[in-house]
Parts: sequence; structure tokens; C-alpha cells
Amino acid sequence: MKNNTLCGIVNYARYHYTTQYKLYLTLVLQLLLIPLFFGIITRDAESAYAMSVAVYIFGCFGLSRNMVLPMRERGTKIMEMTLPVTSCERMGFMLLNCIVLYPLTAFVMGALAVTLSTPFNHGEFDLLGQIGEMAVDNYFFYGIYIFIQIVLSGTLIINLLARRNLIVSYLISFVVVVAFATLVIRLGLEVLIRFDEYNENIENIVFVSIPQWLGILIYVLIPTTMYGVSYLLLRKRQVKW
Amino acid sequence: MITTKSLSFGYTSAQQVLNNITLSMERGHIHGLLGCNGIGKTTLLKLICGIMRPRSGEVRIDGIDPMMRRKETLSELIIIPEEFDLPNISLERYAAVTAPFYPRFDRGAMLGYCEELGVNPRVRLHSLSMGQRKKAYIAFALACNVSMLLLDEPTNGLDIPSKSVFRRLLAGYVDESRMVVISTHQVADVEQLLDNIIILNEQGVMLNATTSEICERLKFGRTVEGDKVIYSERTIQGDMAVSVNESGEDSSLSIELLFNATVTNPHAIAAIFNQK
Repeated sequence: MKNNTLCGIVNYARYHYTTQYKLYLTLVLQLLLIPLFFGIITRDAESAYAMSVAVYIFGCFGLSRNMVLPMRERGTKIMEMTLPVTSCERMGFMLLNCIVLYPLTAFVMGALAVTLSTPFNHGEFDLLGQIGEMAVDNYFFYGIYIFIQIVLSGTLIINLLARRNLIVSYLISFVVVVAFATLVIRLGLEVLIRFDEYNENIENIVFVSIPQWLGILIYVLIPTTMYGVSYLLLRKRQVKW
Repeated sequence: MITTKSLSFGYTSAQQVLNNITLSMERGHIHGLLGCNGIGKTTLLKLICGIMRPRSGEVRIDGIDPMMRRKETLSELIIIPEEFDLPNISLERYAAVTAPFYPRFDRGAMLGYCEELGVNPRVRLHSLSMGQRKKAYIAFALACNVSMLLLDEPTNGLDIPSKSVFRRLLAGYVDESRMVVISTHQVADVEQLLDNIIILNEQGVMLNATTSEICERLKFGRTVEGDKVIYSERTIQGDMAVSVNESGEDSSLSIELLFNATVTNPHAIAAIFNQK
């Protein structure tokens, strides 16, 4: 029997989706119904569109939890971890879920929500035109996609690390992020105050832009590193729980 | 073959659960894993499956470390935990998505087992009672035809007729290429089934012997004058005892008496079986 095969990933995906179908169904319905609801009550398809992006981002927390949940739950943990699936195949499935299937599903559900809310709209909203515009200015698409991958890979790590209390783990990470952000803002404010002290005009601040290739590299490196860490945790945690 | 060598484990460094466990379990037997509450029977099963990492010592399944999670090792092993959750789908559907992981899975056999155990494989598993779910999972596990079947308190929740069907199915399951390990407190349910008894205590493995070896060396039942009694207890039928079988007399094994004798008089049992 060969270890780490594509067939193994497909078999695991089939098993996972079938046994966890309720969780995924909830996620898909959230991706469709919340933007649709907003589109209908605001009578504005743009709100539906904006909400679909927001649900897509917040759905990351649900998705990473769904993937790791059978390995954490008391009743399913033993059966899940004795299933003849290698860590590599499991991670292969997780990557497929995070990088391809989730963005694709979110996009289809968002488009569907916008389309379904169109008859209730006051104004006109050209979804295809909007998407086309953003596709031309592909920084937006790329930015959202990379942002989602960073959030997803981060929450995957939290889910893999947290033994029991997932909420506490999220709270700790939230506090760390807020503390970090506050520190950055404070440093930024100090810079501005100093500028003020020297009677410098804020508008005179020169933003040093990094080369585009370096920006792309950094943004690709962050999720890649996080997924790499997730894989290592998966290998270690799977046998340590 | 499952082997453990000087295996120790603790959930925390202060709380040691298993201590220096060295044993081997061979195919062709139904091994009974016995011990007091909290002694580490379930933990030992988890260590055998590679779910947890030992603090020291090693576990090997056919010479392979189960923590390596090799598919060929895991596909030869199924554990039925004491408590488990099955998804809210039918057993047939569950088997369809799980069977690809077990190359020798036999759907026909599963349906046969379901019929014998009185479980409908077409209904959603959450609509079944806890006992029915257990029977459904037992049917699935047996149909996977794995060579190592680990059962943790398998008779908990089963009704009386199902217990005898379970015993019959398990007796028919074991052959030279397969083994079953049963961890249980309900010894009466599996007494006739076990052919190797392993008793654990805080110090490690107190006893690891086949039932024929035990009956060869120990005598169970009423004592007569001159018997070297190791343990006795008062029952409705009179004083029942475990004594040294010096005369080579045949007696039927009482696992409950044996267990109590091992717990209350470990040194005598160790001396008889030449174990620590």
C-alpha cells in the first residue's frame, strides 16, 4: 500500500465531506443567505456584494475549525486518528479546501446572492461589470485572496494548537493582534508627533514603496510558512493528543 | 504481533499512568486486557494505535512504530472506543466512504453481521440507540477484515441477546492471521472468549498468560483441605477460592476470581507465573 497518494487525498476528502456534511452545509448556506438577506433588506446589491466578501473572510474561522474538528472532538478523535490516512494526505486535503474549494465556493455563492437580490434592488448593479473591473485591477482580487489565505492558515494553526478550549485560543490570538496593532499605531503616532514637533507637514511624509516582486514574495511567503507550520503541527499533534 | 518494551506513559509528568509495560500479543488469540479503574487500559490501546506518544519505551506493530502512521499499519488495525460518535448518515453510506481505506472490506459480510446483530444498515445512525450504534460499528469493524481488532469495553450498552451474538461473531472472526484485544471490566461477558489474559497494575504487567497455562497452574472453585489458597471469597454457593493447582486437576477458569487474586495477592501470582 502506497503512502501519500492523490487517491488517498480524494478518499479522505470524500470521507471528510460525507461525515462532516452538516458543518459544510451550514458554511455554504451562510455564504449564500447572509449576503442575500442584506441585499434584500438594504435593497442594494452592492451591500450584498460587500457582505459576501465579509462572510467569506469570517467564514475562514468556521472552515479551519471544520477541518480539524473530528480530530479534536472526544467522540470522533480516536476513529479519525486511526484512519489509514497520512499527515501529508490530510494536509493535501486541507490545502485543496483552503486554496481552491473555499474561495471558489465563496465566489459562486456570493455571485448567486447578488443575482438573487437583484429583483429587490432600487438601483442597478452590474455584477459582471464589477467583477470585470476588479479583475482588471487584480490587486483587489489578489489582496483579498492572500488575506483570506493568511487568516485561514493562521486559524488552522490555532485549531491545531488548541487542545480543548478553542475560544480561549482565539481570544489570546485576538489580544496579541490588538496589542501588536496598538504598538504599531502608537509608534506611528509618535512618528507623526515628532513630525509635528519639527513643524513638518504630514503630507510631506514620503512613503517608501517596496518593489512589487518583493511585496508578492512576502505575501506569498506568509501563508506558505503558516501552512508549513500547520503541517508540522499536524504531524506532531496527531500523535500527541 | 503487538509488542511493547518498557513502555511508560503519563498524561502529566506527575501523573504516571503506565509503568514499564513489557508484553507481546500474538495473532490467533483473543487477548483480554484487565485492570482496575484508571490503571491505563484505554491509554495502552491508544498507545498501540499510535494516537499518543509514550514517555519512554516503545510500541511496535509487526516491528513498525505505529506513530509513523504508515498506511499499511493503520489499515490492519481498528479500534472500537468505549464512547464514540458516528456521523448522522446510514451505516451503508458510512461504510461506502470508509471502505476505501481498508482493502479487505467486505460489504456482504457487513450486511450479514448487521442482520445477525439486528441493525438496519439503511437508517441514519443518529436515529439508533447507543447500543444499536455500537452494534452497527462492530458490524462495520468486523467487515473490514483487519488483522488487529482492539475493543474497549465492547459489551457496554449491548442487550443480553446481542452479547451472545457478539461472542459468536468474535469467536468466528479470529484465525491464525488475526487477533482481538478486549479491554473490559465486564469479564463475565467475555469469559468464554478470552484465551490470553493480561492483568495490569501500578507496577506494570502482573500477569500475561494463556487460559490453559492459568488452569494448569491454578485451581478455581471450592477448596479442599491441604489446598494452598491464594485468594478466597464468600459467595452464595459457599467459599470460592483460587488455589495452587498441585494435583493437575481440571477446573473452569473464573476471571473474576483470578483478577481479585492478582490484585490482593500479587506476589503469590507472580511467583507462580514466574513474573515480576
